[in-house]
Amino acid sequence: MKNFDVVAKFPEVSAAVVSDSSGAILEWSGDIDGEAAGAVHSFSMQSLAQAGELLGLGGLERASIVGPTKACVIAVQGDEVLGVYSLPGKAFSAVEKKLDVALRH
Amino acid sequence: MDAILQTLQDMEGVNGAVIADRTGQVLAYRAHALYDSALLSQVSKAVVTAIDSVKLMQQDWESVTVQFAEGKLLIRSLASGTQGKTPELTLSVIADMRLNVSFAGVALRVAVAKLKAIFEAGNGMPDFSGGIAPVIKSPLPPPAAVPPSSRMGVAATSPMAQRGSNPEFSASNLNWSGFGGNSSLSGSGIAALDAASSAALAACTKALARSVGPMAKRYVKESLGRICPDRPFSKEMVPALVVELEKYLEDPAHADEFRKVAMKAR
Repeated sequence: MKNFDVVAKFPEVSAAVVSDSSGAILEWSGDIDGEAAGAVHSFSMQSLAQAGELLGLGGLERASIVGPTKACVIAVQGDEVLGVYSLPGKAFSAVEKKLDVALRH
Repeated sequence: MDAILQTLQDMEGVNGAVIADRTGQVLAYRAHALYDSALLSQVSKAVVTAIDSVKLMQQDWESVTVQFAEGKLLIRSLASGTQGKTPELTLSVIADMRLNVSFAGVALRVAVAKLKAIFEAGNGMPDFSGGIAPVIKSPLPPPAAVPPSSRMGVAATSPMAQRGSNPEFSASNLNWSGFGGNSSLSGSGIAALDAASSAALAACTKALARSVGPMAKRYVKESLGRICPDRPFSKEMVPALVVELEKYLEDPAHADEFRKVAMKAR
């Protein structure tokens, strides 16, 4: 992923992981088990893509997962799956906005 | 509980609201007729698989918001802090592109709070603690929010207009994007021979969507599996595809209208 370094260096980001659609880890940074996270991201995206297909909602673009202590956005980029972690709240909103811009370029 | 789901359902862009348990069994729902209980059950199972996976990284998840090319799926955990009293249930809202995400966020927070209160009081689903029995609500008729004539060039008195198909979906580009794809057919498992064939396929899907809404893509995919399982779709196959797709339309008037529009794609 060409913009991975940019995304991983956002000040709000605590960890970032890129995997392929089969779950194999490609790149990661931050305090995270990259291999486990990559596999989880790809697998969960496949299941959500299946749900979207059943519902006729088109291709899966991204999923945001929020909890009380951390938040994660997982974005599908071609054959790659990018997962980015941050604190929930304002920090996560900022990450989502910045990621949106970064992935467009 | 039905009133809570109905409130969600009444929001513009919402096509369904579903409560499911941790096995994916649908406990209650309000949805447009195109989403029947069998389909929602399949969807819930896929959602549960995804959530189970997510929990490996984020056990205390509260919300999952999934963005698709043509809609959104908003999932909220109904589990409360007081474990043991509230079962692991999820509330999912299926929405198209018209959804106002900010309003939906507020409505969902209200709905989740009310549902948790019901469950914690133990009077919402008396049987969920010992084997959950389905409490499935009858689906609503298809939406008729915007007259199709104003969005799709269809006469308001036509059968399609009377039926009230999903205008937003019908007006979308139906690009057949799928997991890992943005605008091509590759990600959807559908292959077209060339650009003209791809355009013809999209036109047929769009024509069918006027009658069946978002399910059109699924029906097209199934039909292609029958007429060209081992080769790419080509424009010459449009008549065969139209014949197959007509089988999904029970109303002869809809089938006739679909045939007229779809055959122009040749």
